[in-house]
Amino acid sequence: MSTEFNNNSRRIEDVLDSLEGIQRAKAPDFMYTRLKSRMEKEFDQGGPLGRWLTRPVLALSIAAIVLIMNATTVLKMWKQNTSANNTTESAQVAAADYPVNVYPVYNENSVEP
Amino acid sequence: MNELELIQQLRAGDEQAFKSLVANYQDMVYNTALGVVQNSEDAEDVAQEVFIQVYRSIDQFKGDARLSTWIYRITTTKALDHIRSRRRKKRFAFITSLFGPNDELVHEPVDFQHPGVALDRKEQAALLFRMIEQLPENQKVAFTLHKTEDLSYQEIAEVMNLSVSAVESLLFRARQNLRKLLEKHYQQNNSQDP
Repeated sequence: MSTEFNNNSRRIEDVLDSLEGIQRAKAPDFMYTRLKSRMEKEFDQGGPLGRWLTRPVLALSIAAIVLIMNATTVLKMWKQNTSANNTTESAQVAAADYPVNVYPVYNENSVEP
Repeated sequence: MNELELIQQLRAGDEQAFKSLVANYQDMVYNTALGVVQNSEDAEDVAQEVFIQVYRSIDQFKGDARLSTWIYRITTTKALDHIRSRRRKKRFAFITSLFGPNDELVHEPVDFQHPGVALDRKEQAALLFRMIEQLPENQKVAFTLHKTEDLSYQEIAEVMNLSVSAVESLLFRARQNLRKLLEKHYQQNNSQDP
């Protein structure tokens, strides 16, 4: 147990010290040429904002939002129409149940001039 | 050309000055980015973004710090942004990219090998980089600047806008966390061995 602990401790210290004397990595060749071509491309497209605005993901997301908004509006309008129809129907039922016109029985014995 | 002249010419939009700036700082920027993002292609990408940022915002450089300190600051910020963006992409692509047509693991993460590490320490350094990746961002940046760029505590403090004692504390905690992670790694490995 103790030997294993000592082994691990030594290995851990070795790993922690493994970057001692590390050399600086060199940048890839022709980096300036590639950088310049990227800059020209970016500045032509109006920078990162321009590139971001023309991303297909963004265009599709906007299209999806517009479609959802349209569908919601159509659904709302359809629901409003249905409830308006229901209101007319219930008004007619109420009118039939509680007629406001003169009940015909009163006319049976009416005296004709 | 001294630093002040270089800055003045950069502000005037002199292309030769920009070329000279890239030549002077490209290894520093690339190596710093490489230490943080741990991938050579990503590091080049970050390095390019850094120089574009320098070109765009040279007017905002007040001259309070050295030019190298300012460039280090841009580099670490861009490198961390790059890691965050990579993580976001990974999260989205996780299910589709993890398994191939036969349900085999396709994108097994590969250990990062820094080209500047001595040959006899490659394996240990790769393990250390794997553990560094798990550190909190501030600790990761401080540790990487200290180890791969050999910056002093004072220089790291200037880059990270912290006090020297805060950097000392960051590096102490980084080392403690790395020790814990390595202990866990070796314990798991020992228990897996028959």
